[in-house]
Amino acid sequence: MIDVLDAPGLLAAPELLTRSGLLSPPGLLAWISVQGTDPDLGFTGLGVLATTLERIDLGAWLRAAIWLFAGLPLLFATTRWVKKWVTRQYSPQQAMVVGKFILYPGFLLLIVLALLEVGFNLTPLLGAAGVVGIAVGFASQTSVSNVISGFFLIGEKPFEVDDVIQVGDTVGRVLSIDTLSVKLRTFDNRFIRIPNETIVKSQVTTVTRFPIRRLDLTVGVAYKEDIPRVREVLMDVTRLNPRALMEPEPTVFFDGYGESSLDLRLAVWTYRENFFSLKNTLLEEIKARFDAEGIEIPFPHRSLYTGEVTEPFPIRLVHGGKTGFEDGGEGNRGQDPGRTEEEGDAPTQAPTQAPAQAPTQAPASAPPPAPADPLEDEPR
Amino acid sequence: MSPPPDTLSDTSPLRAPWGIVPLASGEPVRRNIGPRELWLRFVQGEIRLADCIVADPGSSGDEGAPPEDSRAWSRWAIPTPGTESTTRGAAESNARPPSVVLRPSLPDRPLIVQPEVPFSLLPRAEARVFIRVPLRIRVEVDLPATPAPTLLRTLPTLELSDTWWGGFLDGEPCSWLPTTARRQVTDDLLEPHLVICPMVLVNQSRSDLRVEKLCLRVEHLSLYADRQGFWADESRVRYHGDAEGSQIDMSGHPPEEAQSPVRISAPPAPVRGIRAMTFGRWLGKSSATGSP
Repeated sequence: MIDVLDAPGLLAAPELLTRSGLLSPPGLLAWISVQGTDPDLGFTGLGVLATTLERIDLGAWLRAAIWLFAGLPLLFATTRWVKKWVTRQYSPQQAMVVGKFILYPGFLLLIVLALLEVGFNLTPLLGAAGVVGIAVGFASQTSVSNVISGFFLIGEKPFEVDDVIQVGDTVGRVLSIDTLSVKLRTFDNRFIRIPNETIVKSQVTTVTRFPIRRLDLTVGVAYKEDIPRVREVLMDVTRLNPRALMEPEPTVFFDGYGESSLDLRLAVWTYRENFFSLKNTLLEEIKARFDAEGIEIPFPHRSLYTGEVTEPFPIRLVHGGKTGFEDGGEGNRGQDPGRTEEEGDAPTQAPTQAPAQAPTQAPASAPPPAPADPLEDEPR
Repeated sequence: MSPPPDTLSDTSPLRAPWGIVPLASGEPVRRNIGPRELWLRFVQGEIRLADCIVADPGSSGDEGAPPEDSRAWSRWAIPTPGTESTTRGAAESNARPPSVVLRPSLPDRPLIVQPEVPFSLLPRAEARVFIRVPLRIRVEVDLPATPAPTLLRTLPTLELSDTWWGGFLDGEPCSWLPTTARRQVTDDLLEPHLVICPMVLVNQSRSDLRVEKLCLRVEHLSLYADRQGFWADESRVRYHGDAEGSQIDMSGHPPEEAQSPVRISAPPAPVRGIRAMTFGRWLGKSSATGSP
């Protein structure tokens, strides 16, 4: 390799350029030719350079540059305008798809045009592309899979931009559906990228697909309560909440006998944008109404049963709520079992029956059970 | 029947508590429209508005006091004339209170009316019913710089529950109105916060029509006022069967019972007739609640 900067003749180049107008390409070529053919210099590299530069069509390079430097901004502007128009006319999702269909082929076209302008022969490139494609295909199976999955997502449209979706444990609003991945914004403002292939393989829940949603609240009441009365109170609370839809009609299901409570499920419909506020207000209203009606919401408790032939263990509350056993259990050490009873403490007695008769008094301020709803979304 | 006169921008047909509310600088003014109580005042170049629901509207006398909590008030700063030539503070203190108008309007979405006692229409039978609908209050301010009144807020005189009309995929949001579908209008039905919507129901199917719920599409109705109260267009609903829906035609004029009515608001979505589901045949309890 010959370093042209080592040529002694080039040291005078700046002077020559300024004095005799060699700045122009023909002048530069002529100068390099003369220098390159001077046997005294013993330097033939400049001759090679001169030959190369003679072959370069600067006009073609200029045209290629125009294709790129004028074409690319024009392409971006066109894409942006079309996306805006499609967004207005149709949806952001369709705008994104249309934008990609314009941008990617347009970019490829500009590159090809620029290469053709500078005399690049594309035929061998296309031939090589097949071979390279196989190699690249093996090397980028995941990416290709994501691209193909992206086409499926765009075609099937299980969700659109701005929908709230759940994939696995992740819930968020769709920011974009791209070639390789779907981007989400979670409600605590994190950015999550999920590969398209993962989405195609997973169960995806589109929370905001339909305009109305059902809110299920599990409400536990003490075993002593009258279920029809509780049902009526729950229905009344629902009727008074303006966010709860009157139709489809709210319903109370009796879910079964829990360990500490009778479990009822209140199913209420609401507009999807009111889902969160309905959940919040309804839970508060149920608690307040149950307190007013004297309906007990029990906390979890357990009864000890020693068999039908034995007496139940009497349990009483002593100082600070510590429990002790009358037979001198550890929590009762040194205490007179009967003293607190006389002083008015209320000892509780473990029932001898199954848990169906188990309830003891629960504080009225026991919190209502929190519903397990993974689809809880932010108000829209 | 010739159409009644149009006074869409005129407030003269509106009787108290509707119409112009005279505001004096700093003095609160109260208006009770049905159960809704409004407080208005003009302070430091601002219009302030507070509202609440009164439990027993009939017992509301003059002893009411404006809300003391500043957060209960909504505030609007209005353009003050002469601000450029004088200091802002002086201009605001010298500003004359603008005219605030309380204008009635129909609800902004369809109503699902549930008669207290459902009734049936035999084939080829026809019934005329009157449904009372709570009005909405448009609080507008008339500013000298603007050609049309500026809307500050719209409030319901009565808060209605939400409901859904139609299927899970193709239904529409509506408001729920439990009411008595009266067959006659008597004076006691006319109240300042209610508009009477007459409907003629015609059963043109071959089966009985059980009227448990019906959809009243108020967005296609005009609002009229007479000396006694408010009226809406009379609409005629012809039922052809469950599958075919109903043909709803708006008469474009108030009922004969109205005395010298004037139109005070045009329908937001004017149509002469539409075909739509009107009578309540909801999807059924099992499908409505879905499987547990």
